Amino acid sequence: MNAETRSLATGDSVSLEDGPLTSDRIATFARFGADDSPSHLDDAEARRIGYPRALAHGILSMALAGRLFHQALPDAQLIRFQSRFVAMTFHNDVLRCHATVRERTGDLVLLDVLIHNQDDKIVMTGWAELRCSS
Amino acid sequence: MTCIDRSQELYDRLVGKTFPAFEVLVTHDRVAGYARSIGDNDPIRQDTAAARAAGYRDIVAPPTFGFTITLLAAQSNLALGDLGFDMNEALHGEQLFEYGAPICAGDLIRGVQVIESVEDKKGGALLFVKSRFDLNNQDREWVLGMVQTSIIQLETAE
Repeated sequence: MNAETRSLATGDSVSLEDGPLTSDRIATFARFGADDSPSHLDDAEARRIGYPRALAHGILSMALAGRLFHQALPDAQLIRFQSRFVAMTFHNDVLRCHATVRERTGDLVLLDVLIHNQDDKIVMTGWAELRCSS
Repeated sequence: MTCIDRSQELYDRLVGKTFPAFEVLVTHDRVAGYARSIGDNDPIRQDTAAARAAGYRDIVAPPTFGFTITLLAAQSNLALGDLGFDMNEALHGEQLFEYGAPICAGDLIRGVQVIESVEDKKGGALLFVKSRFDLNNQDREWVLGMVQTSIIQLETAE
């Protein structure tokens, strides 16, 4: 469909931004994602547990990366996707996801993934392996 | 509630623990709502006709949806519960997905959780609880493997 993205080569990068993650958006995700823990919805409850304020869901960061893969390589199948949530994310954060091709061998693509917040702090690191249809 | 004595002996005993299998029916509303809430507006996630035209049984779950299946089956609280915690007290530390057949609306997913490791780190300040899940669909096709790490901040007073 998209010759330019299909030709992603080693070292090439793609990116996608999401946010601000409004409280409404987080509440909607809490409902459909089936994680309505008070620490995601209520500042006071989050502080009681020791967090600075109500958290965004870590998996929302991973979901942003998933959208980026699909956008950059629409015909590719995900094989594996690993993430480490290295810093907390919060309501109203703006997340920027970068995926860089570490290696491309035949129809296999290995991507390194980084997500930064609006303060350029890394909140998620990871990698994904995809198979491109030939 | 009984008081749980968190010790290396308990951690060692929990490794390898396999919980009873669980089942989750993946509904159309859940997949479409989930996709919208993560900002994924691809028609294959919202519209059955578009998904069928693309070769799927029905609308297709986004790649992170498997985590929600474990939450719908109340699985996170099982491993944490054995340690005297609940999900509200845990941070999501790491997540691995391994993909098999697609997960579509209407699927009846059957899964199993096994505790892979329980370790304290940073001199006992943090507790890492790692579980592996394997999910199959109604046709006994493997759809997803997951390894999830929850992190608990332990009170230093303990």
